[in-house]
Amino acid sequence: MKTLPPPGRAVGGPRGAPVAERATLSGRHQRRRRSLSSYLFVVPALVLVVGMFWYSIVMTVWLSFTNSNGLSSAQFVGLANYRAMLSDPALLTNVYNTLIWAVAMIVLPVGLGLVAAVALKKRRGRSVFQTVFYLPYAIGFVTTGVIWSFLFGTSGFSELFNALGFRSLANVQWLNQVPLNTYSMIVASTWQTMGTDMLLFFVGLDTIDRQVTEAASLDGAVGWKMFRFITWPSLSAMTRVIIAISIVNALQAFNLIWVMTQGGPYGSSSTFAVWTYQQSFQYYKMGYGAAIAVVLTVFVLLASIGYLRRSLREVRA
Amino acid sequence: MGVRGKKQVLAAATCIAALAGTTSLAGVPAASATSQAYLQLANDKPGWTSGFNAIGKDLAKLDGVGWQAQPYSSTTAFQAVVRAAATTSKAPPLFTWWSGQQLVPLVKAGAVANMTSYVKTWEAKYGLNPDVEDAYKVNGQYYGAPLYTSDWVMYYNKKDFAKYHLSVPLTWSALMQDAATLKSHGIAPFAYYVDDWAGFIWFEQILLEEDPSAYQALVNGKISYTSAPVVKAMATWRQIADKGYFSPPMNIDTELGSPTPFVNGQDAMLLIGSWEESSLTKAGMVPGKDFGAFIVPPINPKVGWQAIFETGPVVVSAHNSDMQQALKAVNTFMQPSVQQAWDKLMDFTSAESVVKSTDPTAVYVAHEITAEKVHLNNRYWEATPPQVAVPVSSDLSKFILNPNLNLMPFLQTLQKTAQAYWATAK
Repeated sequence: MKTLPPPGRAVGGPRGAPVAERATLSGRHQRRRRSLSSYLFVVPALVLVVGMFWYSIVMTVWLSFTNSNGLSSAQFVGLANYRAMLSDPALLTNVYNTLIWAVAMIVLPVGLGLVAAVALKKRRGRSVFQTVFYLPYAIGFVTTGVIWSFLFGTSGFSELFNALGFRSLANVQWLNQVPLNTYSMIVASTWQTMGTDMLLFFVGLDTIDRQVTEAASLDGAVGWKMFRFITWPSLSAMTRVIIAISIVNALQAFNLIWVMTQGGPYGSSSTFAVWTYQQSFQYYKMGYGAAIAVVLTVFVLLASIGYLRRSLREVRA
Repeated sequence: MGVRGKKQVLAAATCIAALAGTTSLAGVPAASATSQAYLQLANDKPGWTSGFNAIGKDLAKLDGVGWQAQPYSSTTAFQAVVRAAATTSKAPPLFTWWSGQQLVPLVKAGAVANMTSYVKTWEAKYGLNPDVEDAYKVNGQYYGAPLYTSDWVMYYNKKDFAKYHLSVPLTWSALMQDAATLKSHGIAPFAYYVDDWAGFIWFEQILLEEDPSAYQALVNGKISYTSAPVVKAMATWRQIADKGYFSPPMNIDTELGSPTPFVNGQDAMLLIGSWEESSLTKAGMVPGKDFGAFIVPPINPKVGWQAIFETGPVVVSAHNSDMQQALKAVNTFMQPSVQQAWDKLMDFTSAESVVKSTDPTAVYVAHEITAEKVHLNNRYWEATPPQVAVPVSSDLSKFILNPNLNLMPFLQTLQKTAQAYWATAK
């Protein structure tokens, strides 16, 4: 009785190629066809990413080496824009304000979000609080900026403090005094973003194993001890994610600042993102604005990669 | 290739083709925008859309070519888009812009059509104010038609003036006397704004009223910010601040649109462009009854009466294939009947003397301009290049917030900014 040869060995037949070989060839061909159609489906997304993202980045980097004003043809100027940035008196103010925003937006919304999540976790009506705290994020940065500009203006807190008899507080120029203007905008931003961080912490808290917390409470861990030894370590992964996102967002702080002060008065509340916008679109120094944008991007990348690498190292340890 | 494989590849290819088709369709402008009857009018004034479109229909009825507004909600985005397209065939046929030094880069790039022959006709036939049209003059040629013209006036709260028996001042000392009276009664004589572009408001007014030729020289980079006329103007400004005649500074971007202290009478006077009148009427004030306006009297009577005006043009792209039609539409727009309709729609005052306003404050100001032979000067924001105007106006906020700062080093900073531009521009 003839038996089929083991796979891969030629048998020979009237149609030329051996049956086993024909089966292998057919499989490879099918896999190639499937790959081709997969690639074709990915092409539109690839075009979008390459076209809108990488193309923009490459063009911005190129612009940063020119004296483009967005109207007439640009000339290559090498590192002139970067040198100009180093000697620009506005550099220090922008670096300082950007760092203030980064630190504040890590400490305040993240810290308050954590406190609110822990405090409300087991409270009745948690969903109501979730909605109330999340609502400011849903209304967007521009609306938030308009609302808080009114509150910090002459018809807002000033009127309230006047009515309550706090004259000295009523005369405070919340958005015109330096550095109070930056702190006031940070308050507005904290009000808006704290709810999102709180929701993320809720998610983290919900994933903590109940058996662990029950065992800990049986051992006498309550309140601060429970938080310190059980809750906080269990939230470390979520905290890392939230902080990483906060770093990236804070370093690019723009929308709220633009609506409330446009970086003023006299550039005192400007950040890197505001600075690049002003140079590009108000002063028509697109090359210079592009150089600032490149420096900001590098700064954000280094900060976020550095933080994530350190966090991952700790996790592995 | 098997049937199933062919179907997968065909499906993928169809998706790509559909997306490509969608993308290319998105690039085709809407038919109405480039039809013979209506041309696109790109602008950064979304609140004016209904007015633009109403007048656009009138233009089409009169001469066959009208316009349709294409608004951008952000001025900065609008400028960036127009500047990028300005020297290409993709430039909008018509667009709003700014006068003076803001127009110069477009002219130098060959982006806007020459309207000189039309301007001469408008001046001769319709009484177009040559001071206003000069704002659109570059190297002796004209490149824009005034879409709106606003005089910078001192609005005053009539109730405050009546209560303290004050009258419209015709001299600077009378204005200061009125201010002293108001101050003594706990009213802030002048509403004061800060931040962003507010810095130039009092700076330009005082310098102009003391030395108009120095003002013109300064905006054209011919004299320094540390020169004697500028130092003198800053000293005058400081004196007014030291006397406590200004209200606590308010953020101009967030508070000018709702000038509550002026409406309530806590601030008696407001130095601003006449476009602010719409905010006052929206707040319930009635022109002529609750508020009036006057031209600020000269500080130095020898220089004669001066006033600031601002004007914004509609310009025609020199690269769009509809250039001739666009020029025709603009020419029709400048006809007195259309100007009258436009002014009525928008509460503007035409720059043409044959077109009369019915707004009582505008009528009084127009009368004052004629009676006192007031010479109109382009606003600082347009008269000097934006690379100087924007940072200097921003820095002047420092002086507003601290008028007793060390003046010369401060002025040297302003001069350094100006110098950085003029050195490369010359």
